[in-house]
Amino acid sequence: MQALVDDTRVMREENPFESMMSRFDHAAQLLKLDPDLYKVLRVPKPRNNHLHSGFHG
Amino acid sequence: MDNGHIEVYTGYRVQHNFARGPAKGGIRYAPDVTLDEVRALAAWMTWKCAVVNIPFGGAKGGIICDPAQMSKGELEKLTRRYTAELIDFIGPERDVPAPDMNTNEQTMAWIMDTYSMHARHTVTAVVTGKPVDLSGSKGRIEATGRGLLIVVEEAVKKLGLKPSNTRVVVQGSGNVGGVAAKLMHQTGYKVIALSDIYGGIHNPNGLDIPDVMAYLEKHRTLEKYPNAEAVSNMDLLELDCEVLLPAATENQITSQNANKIKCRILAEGANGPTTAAADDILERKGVFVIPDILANAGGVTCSYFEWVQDRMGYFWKEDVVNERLKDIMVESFNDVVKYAETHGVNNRIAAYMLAIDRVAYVTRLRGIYA
Repeated sequence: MQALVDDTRVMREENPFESMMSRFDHAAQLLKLDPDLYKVLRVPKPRNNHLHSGFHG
Repeated sequence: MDNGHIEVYTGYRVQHNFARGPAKGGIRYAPDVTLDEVRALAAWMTWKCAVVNIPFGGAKGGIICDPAQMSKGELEKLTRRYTAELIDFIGPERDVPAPDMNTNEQTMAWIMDTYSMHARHTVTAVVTGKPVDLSGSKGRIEATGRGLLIVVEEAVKKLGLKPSNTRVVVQGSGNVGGVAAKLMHQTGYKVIALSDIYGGIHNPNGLDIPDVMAYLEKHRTLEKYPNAEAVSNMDLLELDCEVLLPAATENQITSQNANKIKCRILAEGANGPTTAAADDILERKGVFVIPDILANAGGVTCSYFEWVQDRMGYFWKEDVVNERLKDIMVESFNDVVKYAETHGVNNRIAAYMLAIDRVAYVTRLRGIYA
């Protein structure tokens, strides 16, 4: 349902994914997450050589 | 393509985390799919699965295409080729896709068949969201809406409200909002407003939801529905009510309108309906927020049940599925609320902390295989 946001009162003040990441950062900070673990959990990083894959076909 | 031309499409599959089990997440077909979006949604799935404590990591996939402009045959070819390209990356023990935007049961059936042809035997557990006749799970279509009902019920009890006096406003009338409205009406709540993509309807005395849904099915819109006043999708959010269910799309509650939200319980059926800026305002107003990664996790929980049933080859009755869904959603709700109270944070941050804590814990247990 995409047309719900036509109303001018709704501003795209924030990308929802950025909201999610900012909440992740806040929670990780409160947990005092180890910096290395923070880096591992925040973004996909290659592990077992199959973290992300693209195709053109 | 059907006209004999060759078309080149770009697709992605991002696997964010495997620490707790196989990666899990949907595949979307849309013209505006980007790698950044898919990457963020994959992370979102990791936290959602961890909050409800099911043994999955997070993943997401997407193909840049316009399915509205494609025939069924073209979509099948696209799906099968995408699956073939990912054959070494997906599987019941590795990564289990599911439907998402513009993909459905049929898409999952094609993926399952393509994967099975390569494996030389039928592998039903490679995807979830399959048709029930093709090793899908009963109760799956209603699962997200039912999960929403379950967590709202817990919040209503916690706040000492009575269902019969509890007014519910639902933004959206699809698989999540429509199902939640129907179930809440059946359970005795007073659903006073509902909307579709074009706008909403409001009756402060309560809507006859079966009648509304029959009207929607017949007319494909809620416009001109009798026995209710028209209301815009944005005005609907500001109606006086006890429970507000934004179950349509993202960024509906922002710093612009958060102060005007009058509900006591906000249960996020959609992903990301509330911006981070609005969070602070809602917290100051004392709104009890059930965050998206908990509130709409009924769908992935039932996907977990489908994966379990496929692996054991034994399929549960619908009431068994619903009972087990209730167990998990109630336990997860209580976990989040307890975490929030223990750590003095709001429910949303508690849900993230709980999820990150669970993933971090198993990551440390497993250690790093350098």
